[in-house]
Amino acid sequence: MDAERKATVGGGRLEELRRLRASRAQAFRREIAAHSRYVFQSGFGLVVSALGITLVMGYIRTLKDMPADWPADLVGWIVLALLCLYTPLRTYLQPSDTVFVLPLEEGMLSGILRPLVRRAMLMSAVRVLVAFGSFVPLYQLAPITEGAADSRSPWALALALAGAAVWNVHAAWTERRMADTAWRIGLLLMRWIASVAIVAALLLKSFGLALGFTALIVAVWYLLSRLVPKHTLPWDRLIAEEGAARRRWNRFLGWFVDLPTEFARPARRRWIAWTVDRLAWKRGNAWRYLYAKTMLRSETFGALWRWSVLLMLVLLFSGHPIVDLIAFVIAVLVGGLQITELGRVRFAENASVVPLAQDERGRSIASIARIGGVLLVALLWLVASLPNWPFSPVLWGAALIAALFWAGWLLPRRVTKSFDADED
Amino acid sequence: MMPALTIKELTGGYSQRRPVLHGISFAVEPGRMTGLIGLNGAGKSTTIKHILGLMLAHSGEVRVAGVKLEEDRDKYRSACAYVPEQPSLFPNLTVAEHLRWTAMAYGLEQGEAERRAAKLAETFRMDKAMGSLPDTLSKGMKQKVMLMNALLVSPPLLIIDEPFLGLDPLATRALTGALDDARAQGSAILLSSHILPALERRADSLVVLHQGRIIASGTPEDVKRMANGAATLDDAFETLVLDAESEGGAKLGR
Repeated sequence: MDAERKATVGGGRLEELRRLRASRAQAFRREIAAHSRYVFQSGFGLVVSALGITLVMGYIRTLKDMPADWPADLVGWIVLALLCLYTPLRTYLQPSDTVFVLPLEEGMLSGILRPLVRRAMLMSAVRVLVAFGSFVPLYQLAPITEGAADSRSPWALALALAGAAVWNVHAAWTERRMADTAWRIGLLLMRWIASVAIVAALLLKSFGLALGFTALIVAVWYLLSRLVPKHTLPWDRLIAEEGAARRRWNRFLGWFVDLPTEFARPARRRWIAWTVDRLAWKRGNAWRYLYAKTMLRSETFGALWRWSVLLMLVLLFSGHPIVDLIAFVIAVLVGGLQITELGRVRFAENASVVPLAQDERGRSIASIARIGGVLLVALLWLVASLPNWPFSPVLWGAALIAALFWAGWLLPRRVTKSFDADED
Repeated sequence: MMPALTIKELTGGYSQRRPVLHGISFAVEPGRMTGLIGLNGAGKSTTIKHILGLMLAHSGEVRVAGVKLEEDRDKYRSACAYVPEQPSLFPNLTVAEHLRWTAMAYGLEQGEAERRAAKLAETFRMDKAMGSLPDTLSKGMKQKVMLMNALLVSPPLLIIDEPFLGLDPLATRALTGALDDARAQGSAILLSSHILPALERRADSLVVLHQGRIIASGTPEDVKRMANGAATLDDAFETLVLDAESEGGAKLGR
């Protein structure tokens, strides 16, 4: 009777946990849906649709008329590796759960999280299979990869790639549970490098050797992971990840509609934060000092510099002037939009009681936005224009002037406007 | 000598129809510590917000170093430093950067600011944490950072709300020592606290608030005498509050 009662009570609680998670997921989706119309109204939807149509037309054209040097190896490698490495896990956990839900940890783990991880593994496999299904015709047709494609069964290759994706999800869950940060980061980096190598080997090298390599890497990874103490359920990490996911969505939607910026865990970024200490020690620089440090240690800046580095890599390796120009324009626009988030930073009331003129805040934010924007433009333009300038000096000169106008004049005004509107 | 803080017939609160403060008046002299005590909801934090200019008075006036906020904003703000009850740090500044920013904001010269910061870091045992960001600090350490920021500038008026909460015994001792130093240098201190024995030992004067009115003020001994010669400040406070409530009840015909 006792065991039966326990099972009933346990089952009832598990149902409650499932309902709790479902209601949080629903609330989140409703929130996103409510703001999505602003995204489409802004024309972003149009741009994405145009890009999608261009991709599809490009795909069909390439299939019909495959260029001899079309980089099917690079394209397949990058796309499939990125999909394998993509291992999101939305738990919808909140900080208060460590008080109210912690007693139900066992139910949480067995009834919610493990099924969630299994579902994530399935979805990851599906994503990779769909991508591979679209890629396989190109893989088989492209001169660069047709030899490799002929030497293996596409079904076996699809299964192996899906297996790599599934392994990544399971490994990512194991990493989340690791108690030692250094080990966790080390094994995460090992997994990333290994996954990139595994995808390349499966696509391009001897299939048998690639499978052996994959099995070896995966076995070594699991052996090493057994050395690390693990949490049964990593509450803090999952709550932090959930918070980060929400903030990413808010940041994206914030480009189209005014949403409050939630403070994320700052990153030290010693490599760049020191530059602010070079500001002259004077009262007039106090707001600039505060906002510059805030900006450089924020999640926004993290996204900005990673995004910029990625686009700079595209610029360095594309070898195509139109692609370079598009990448430059996107980098400048998106980078600028990220910088405008500085206008939405708010501090607690202790920033209002110091003997600094409050109306100086807007001017300081504008000057930080201007300096940051101009530096970004200069760096991106140098990388983009160096190979292209000799061929189209007028075009690249015009691009520079337009970008400097955006970063040096429009952006600071936009940032100040956003700050003043909030202040009102 | 002019008081560091003068409050005259201050009435204020969140709404004109239901003020929280009803015509309170008191002053804090340079080099002296005044304790502001009262039950939760008595109006202590509201009083502090009016002093800081975060709330506008319905009537009456607040002067810091002889000026009103609207007369000379810069002089007013430069004359006071505030430590809130809940530590409120800038999430993206390290401890050292907080001190630097405060020093810049108050116009402190770099060399002097660095010397004071080093001394405060040693006093509060925060030397090893100077490079830390707030998310790695415990609540008590955050409180220390807030105190260090206020003490760094040594303004004419220090306003501190519940400074002892969350501090370990050594930090409490460091704080009381630092407050004594600040007093010796001429700073006036307005300190709000529920830890009455600490105020009984250290405060030069007390202001007892109840439901937005001052029900007693004076030295700790004066306040105890007003409460029928209570033995301790805790007993005196209880007596005064209960008497005030029963008087208030009698007026309403209860």
